[in-house]
Amino acid sequence: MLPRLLIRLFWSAVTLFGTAVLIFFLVNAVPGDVARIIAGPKASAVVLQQIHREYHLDQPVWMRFGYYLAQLAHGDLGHSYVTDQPVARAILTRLPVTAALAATAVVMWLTLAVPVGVLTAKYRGRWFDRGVLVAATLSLSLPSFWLARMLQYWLAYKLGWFPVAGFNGFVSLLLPGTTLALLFAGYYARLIHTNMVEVLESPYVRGARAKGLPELTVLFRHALPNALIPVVTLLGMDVAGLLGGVLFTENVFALPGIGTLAVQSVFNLDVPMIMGTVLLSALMVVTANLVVDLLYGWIDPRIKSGV
Amino acid sequence: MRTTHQLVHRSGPTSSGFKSVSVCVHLWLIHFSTDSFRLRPGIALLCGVLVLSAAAGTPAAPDQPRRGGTLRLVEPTDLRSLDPAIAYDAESVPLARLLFRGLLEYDDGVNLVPGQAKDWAISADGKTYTFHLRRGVRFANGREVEADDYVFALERVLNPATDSPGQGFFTGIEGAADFVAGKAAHVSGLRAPDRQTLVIQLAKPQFTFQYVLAMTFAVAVPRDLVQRYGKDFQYHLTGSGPYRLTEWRRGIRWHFARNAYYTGPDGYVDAVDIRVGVDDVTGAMMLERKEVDRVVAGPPQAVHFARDRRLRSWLTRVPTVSTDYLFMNVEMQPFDNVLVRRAVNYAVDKSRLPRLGGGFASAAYGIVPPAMGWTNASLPRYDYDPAKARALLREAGFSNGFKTTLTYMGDNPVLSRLAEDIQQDLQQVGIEAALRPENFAAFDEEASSRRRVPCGIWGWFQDYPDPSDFLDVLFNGRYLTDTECNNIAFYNNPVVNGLLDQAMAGLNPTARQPLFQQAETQIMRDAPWVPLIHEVMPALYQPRVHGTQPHPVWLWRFEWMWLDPD
Repeated sequence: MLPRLLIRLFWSAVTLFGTAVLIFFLVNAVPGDVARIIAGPKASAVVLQQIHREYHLDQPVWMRFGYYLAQLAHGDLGHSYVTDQPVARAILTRLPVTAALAATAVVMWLTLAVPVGVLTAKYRGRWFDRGVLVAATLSLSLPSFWLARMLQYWLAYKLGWFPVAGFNGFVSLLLPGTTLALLFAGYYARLIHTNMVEVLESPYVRGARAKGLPELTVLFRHALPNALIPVVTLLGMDVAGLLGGVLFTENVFALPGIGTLAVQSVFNLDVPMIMGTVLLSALMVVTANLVVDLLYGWIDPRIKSGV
Repeated sequence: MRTTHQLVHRSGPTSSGFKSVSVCVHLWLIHFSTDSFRLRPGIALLCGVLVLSAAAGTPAAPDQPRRGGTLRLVEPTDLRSLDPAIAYDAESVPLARLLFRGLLEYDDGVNLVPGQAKDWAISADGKTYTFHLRRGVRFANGREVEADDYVFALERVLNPATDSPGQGFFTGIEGAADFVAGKAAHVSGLRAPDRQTLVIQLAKPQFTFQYVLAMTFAVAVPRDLVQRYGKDFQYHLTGSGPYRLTEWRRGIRWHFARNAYYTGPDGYVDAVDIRVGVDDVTGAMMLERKEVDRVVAGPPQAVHFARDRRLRSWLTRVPTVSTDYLFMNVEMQPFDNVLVRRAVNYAVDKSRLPRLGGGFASAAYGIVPPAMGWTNASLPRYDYDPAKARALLREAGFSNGFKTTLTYMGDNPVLSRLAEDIQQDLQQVGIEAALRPENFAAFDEEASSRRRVPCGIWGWFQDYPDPSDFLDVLFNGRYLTDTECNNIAFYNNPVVNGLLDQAMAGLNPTARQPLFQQAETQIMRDAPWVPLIHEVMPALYQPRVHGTQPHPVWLWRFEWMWLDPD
């Protein structure tokens, strides 16, 4: 197992390196002199030249990438062009809010999706099942920024049930968490539904029923754990994606997370910050992929771990 | 000249004092009309109680400032820095003024008044400025402000290592060139003969230098702290303004508390709190829910407030001293032909333009904004006349029109709408203008480089209230460079250059004005620009906020705002 783990780690590092290369050259291909963003439109030529020297902007792009890699090797993600703040510090400052939002959203959508998925499998073909199918399709179709804005408008602005925006503790996460939960719950409910339908046809489930076990015990204790195996995989990837920053939801609700940091850095053409947030997102996905593969083998010993 | 602006007049509820008095009057009438001697003492006592309680509980009238409360603001993006050597945009400068103060201030208009300098004198030749500082002015750490702090601050701005966008404003100081080039350790034209006296020697007279000294670049900074922290001074900002920075969480929150050592008349609120990352749509909703006190609105939100009877009084129109314009590169065909440029001027229908910003703009017919207090009766008018435009194009040899590209900043909604509208106008006279949106950095680099952009749309905001900030900076051909050129039309008329040079050399404002007027008139005849609009910013304030009158230089002054009691 260890050699395979090392191989996986190696390819994870290659993935991250490839991401860094791709993003660095893409961002640096955007036209425009970054020094003007740093110094403003009325900066003198002397100041612009000074900034070029300081940030190596007068060097060829491949040399600048070399400087960046050297920094990365020392764990330094560089400094923001706009705020001069260390990128790593900026990300770490924002991570708790993003993590709290992700946790709130996951709890909400699982709380909704699991019972709904189980019950639609139990009452397959009935109006409840069909209604949930329609709702799930709708939730997958809704643009996240639209849903966020609608919830904010009606529940916070019109009714005053929640704060409109900003972060002032857990209550500020409820509405953004609900936004994400509504977007993800439908898909997860259908996924659990599909897996449950298959599992409920299994011989051991028929056997449990034949033994006279209560139906709820059959559903939630015997069938559901097996139906959740594929869900674990997807959940890991989705959580990793959320930790990389929920761009639209965080921006609509003005949450000081990685999503707002990423959006602001793009608008400002703040190359180090863009690189930092994208690399974080890539790191989260790669790590989640690895962890999920390890967990898969542990959850179901019949499955040989991909590692 | 003072400019007049639409003020917000708050029609609040009747004060408790007025109610008490009216009840008392009614009771007094009853007192004199009743024959019951048992009732009269009771009525008199009740009246007395009402009058006393009214006197104790009457809130301050709206025009009487009071201290207290926290002013809650929002910003859509984080500020780069409030370091006065760096802060240089419409959002950062008013906030930097909360922390830092300088030698000179503006009154409610564009007139300079003493700030931390109790008086100042300019020599007859206009080259020597002598300031005497007030005693007892202290930084937020308790140390008294000294003349050497000003010397240090100005050298810091000039120092290329600071990357200050304000460096160019101070290169007229004697010895600045050598200092910037690294040939001198200090600027010879900056002297502090004693702790309360600052002397600035210019290389040549510069009438506008007094305005430059009122900019936030020229405020005092504690030299000991800056030397200790270096570039990290921005995380330990300490000034002599009415507030000090108590919390700064990058991209999340700024918090200012009162500077206990400040003795100026302003600084009414106890604290200013700013949340970062709130867009204008969200901010307007938060304002209505009373979660924040002030928002700079986008046009849709501003229109919503303007149309709502209840919310209308929350809106303050803040005229910016700015001009958005269409520039034509006079060194590139076909715009090297003055007939073509005049044709473009006649082709643009300016009556529609203010509506593009939701009604928050005024059509521009000259270069220098009227909000500066500027008038010029001799300006040629290019009223909308597509027939005349086509005739001029035929005369210029473009009977079938021509093709060109119209470059602008694509992420600026106002400039984007202007570009689309102008494209249609030009199409009516046979000019096919392909729209070319760019990000700020790309646009700024290309437009300021020679022979790269044939025409485009841009804007210029004033640095200080003098017409030279528009005319000399943007049209004097002597300052043309191949790159980083402010004169992005690359206009160069020796007659205009001479007028501008003569005006810049003058020290008498009465004598300067006609020269600038003549220059502007000639520039408009040569038509390198089509002035489009002067922008008006819609600012939304909760009714509890007072002192929100716009300022012609600073736009808004948070330090003069006060709040109703909770």
